Parts: sequence; C-alpha cells; structure tokens
Amino acid sequence: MIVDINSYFGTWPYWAMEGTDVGSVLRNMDRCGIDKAFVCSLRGVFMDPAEGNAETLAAVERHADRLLPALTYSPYASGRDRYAEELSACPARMVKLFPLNHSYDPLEEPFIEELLNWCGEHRVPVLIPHRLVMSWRFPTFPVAKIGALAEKHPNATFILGSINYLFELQSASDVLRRRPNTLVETSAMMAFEEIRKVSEEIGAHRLLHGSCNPLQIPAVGPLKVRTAEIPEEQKERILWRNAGEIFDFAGQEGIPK
Amino acid sequence: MIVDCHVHIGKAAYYHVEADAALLLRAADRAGIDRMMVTDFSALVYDIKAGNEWIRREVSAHLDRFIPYYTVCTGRHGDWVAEDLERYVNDHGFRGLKIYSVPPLQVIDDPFMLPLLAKAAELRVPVLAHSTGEECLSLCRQVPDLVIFNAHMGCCPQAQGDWHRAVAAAKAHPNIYLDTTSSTFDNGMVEFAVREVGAERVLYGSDMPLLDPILAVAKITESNLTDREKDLILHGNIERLLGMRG
Repeated sequence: MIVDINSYFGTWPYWAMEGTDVGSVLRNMDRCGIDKAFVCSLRGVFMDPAEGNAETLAAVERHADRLLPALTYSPYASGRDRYAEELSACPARMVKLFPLNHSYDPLEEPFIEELLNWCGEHRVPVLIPHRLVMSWRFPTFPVAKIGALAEKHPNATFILGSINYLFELQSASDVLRRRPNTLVETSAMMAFEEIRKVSEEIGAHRLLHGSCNPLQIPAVGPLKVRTAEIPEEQKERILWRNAGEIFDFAGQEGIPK
Repeated sequence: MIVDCHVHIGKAAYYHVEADAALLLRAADRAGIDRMMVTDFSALVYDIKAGNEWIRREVSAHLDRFIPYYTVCTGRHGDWVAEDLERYVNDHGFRGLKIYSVPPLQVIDDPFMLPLLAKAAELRVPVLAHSTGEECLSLCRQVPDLVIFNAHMGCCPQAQGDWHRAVAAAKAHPNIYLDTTSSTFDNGMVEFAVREVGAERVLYGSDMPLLDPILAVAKITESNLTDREKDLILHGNIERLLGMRG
C-alpha cells in the first residue's frame, strides 16, 4: 500500500513536459505501485485557486478510488470564501498553501489565520512546500515561517513539503523537534541515507511519502523509502500508515486499518 | 555494469559527511555500482597536496573499484600543481581532473586555471567541472582537445538548476559531456539531454556520499530511453572515454 501526499496535474508552464494530465498521473501511479494520491491542479498554483480547486475536485470525483483532493486558497484570489463548504464535502482532504506563488506572507494575513483555525478545528492537514519541486531554479519559502505558523496554530497539522538536505533539513528538523503538530514530506529528500537519518533523528511517524508526480520522476518517491535501511514497519508508516492516521482515512475503501 | 563518474571521498564540514573507501564500497555494492571515479573533499576545499596524497593511499588497495581524479580548489596555487597532476596520472593511475566553481572564491574560467586544463588535455584525461554550461563552453573554446564533464548538468545552485542551458552549452561543443548527478529529478530531463546531444554524451553520476546513489541510478533506469542508451550512460561512455589513453 502506498499513499502519495504530494502530486499535481495540469499544465507545466516553464518548459515542455510530457504527461502532466490526470490520465498520465494515474498511469505513473500504476507503474510505481502508488494506490492513492493527493492531487493539486497546477492551474490553482499558477493562475486561479478557485478554477484549480474546481479541476481538482472534478478529477477526484472521476477517480474517487485513487485520487484525493489537495485544495489551495489565497487571501487575494477568488474561492477563498468557499473553503469550509469545499473541504467539508470531502472525507479525506488537504489544504496546500503556496505563499510564493500567490504572493503573500501567511503570518500576516487574517484570511490565512481564519483558514488555519478552521483546519485545526476540522482536522484538515496543511501542506506548505518549501519549494514547488526539487530544483535550484525555484525560490524557497522559509522553513522557519512554517514553524512559526505551527506555533501560532497548535491545533492544526502542518506538513513541511519538498525539503532537500543540509541547512534546510536542519531547519526542518528543528521545527519538527519543537512542534509536535508538524510532519515532513519526502519528495525532495535525495541525500545519502536521508530517510534513515531523519527516521532515527525525528521518528518515522513524522514522515509522509510524497513523489511530486508527474513533475519529478515518480518512481523515485517510493524507491527511496523501500531501499532505506530502516525496519519494514517504519517503511509502512512512511508509505501510507501515517497518512491514513492524519487524514482519517484508515479503514475506508481500499485502505487497511 | 555501472560506472559512476562523480563520487567524493574524505570529509567536508560544509556537507556534514565523512566517507572512507569502505563506506563507499558498501554503498556502491547496495546500488549495484561496479566502479567509481572519485575525488577527495579536502583537496577540493582545503589542501591540494595533502588531499590528493590521501586519496591515493586510501583507494590504492581497491583500484579495481576506484578511479581517482586529481582534485584542485583553484588554479591559483602555482605551477607545481600541473606537474603534480602529471605525476599522479602517469605514476598513480589517476584518470581525471576535478575542478570546482563557486564564485568569487573558486572560479574555473580563470587565466590561472588554463595551464592546468592544458595539462589535462595533453595527458588526455577528462575534467569533471562543477560549473555552469557557459563556463564549460568557454573553457573548451580556450583549450583545444579539453574534454569536460559538466557536473550536475546545470542542476546545482551555481548554475541555478538550469539544465536547459547546460544542454545547450553541450550541444555547442562536442567535447562537453553531461553528468546527471544532482538532487534534481525533473521528469524528462535525461530524455531531453539525450535528444539534444545524444546518449553518447550523457554520463551517470551520483555525488555519493552526499546524494543517494540508488536514486541516481533510477534517474537513468526509469527514464524513457532504449536499453542501448541507458547502457551508454551507465557505463559505455565512460569506458570509451577512459580508454582514450590507450
């Protein structure tokens, strides 16, 4: 069983990339043994969160057995008044924030404060990517700010996304140690024995498998967990069991308890 | 068969690593890597003389697995470095030169680097250059017969992660090869490089022990390429290039 908490679909604006539609995402999942994935429309990241969320919800409705919604909201874009309605309608759901793409500081925005309070109250995890994909081309959102949000909203669960290694991993580890309401996603962890080291230092119960399918080579996501020198029970936790717990879908169709 | 063109040994405070031959051999065995072209950290960031001597001793018992690069911090340490490179190549089986560009302290497109690169070309050993595609192109245009492996093919902070520019530079000069080493796994990047310059000029590398060599191998094996193209990248090209000394 593998759950992917960090997938996308839609048009990739920066260079020609094949296979970014929903059908391709599903084919990649089949090839890599990924059973379920939280997907987020790239239209919502780059263009219009409301239109992107509509695409995401439509894709999830068409493939309810495989896809789960990662919805995004911005204080300065349409759709921000719909979060409670949209998220309440989904049994397993995630909010994904893109402060760099939507140009705001989440620590300074009353709307984000309201949204995060709601997410804490309704047990909706919030993923904030440190960068969109693991590439040195992309700007990074400060890990310490995600830590500050986690401190400000202790009832909400925060996932630090797309953390690579060295100083950014140290910053993420510091946040994870200080804030029990935080977890880290694995799509950008490419360093030598990184999964093992983070599991030993922070605990496998704080890691969640992500692949960044289809923007990154999707097979690498599960591979780094499967080949990590950690006990099988910890691999299972990272690949799906932790997600089942924080997203409250353990025991649902296709998901073991 | 897998030959890794980009492996480090030794210790570096910045990278939080310390790796000896035994650690690398164990990791290579896990990843299915047969041979490693290896460069010493301390020669790269601190002491050229001591670092190259250390790696010579450290890998001497395993020359069936390790192929050492002679490594320099900069070209600004005097004429003895080119002579030292020649001695290590001729007497100790070193088969390449590693140079590192982190401006402004470590620059490789630099008049002081040119004699060393000319020596590498004369010795017919390739140069692994952590740099931008543009710098590699400039060096190839200044030093005839120089063969450069563009480390990370643009996927490093200095080159701003721009593998498109690295591929364009390689396309502009037949002596530039693209080393796939990096923590960037953009879907389609290896296929793009092969389409633009041919599989004959793409090389597998891992950056072990900084990065995970198993994932680096998967970057090639999971790509949408033919088996022949994958074989060239994983070992065929480097075997051909290292055979150039006869």
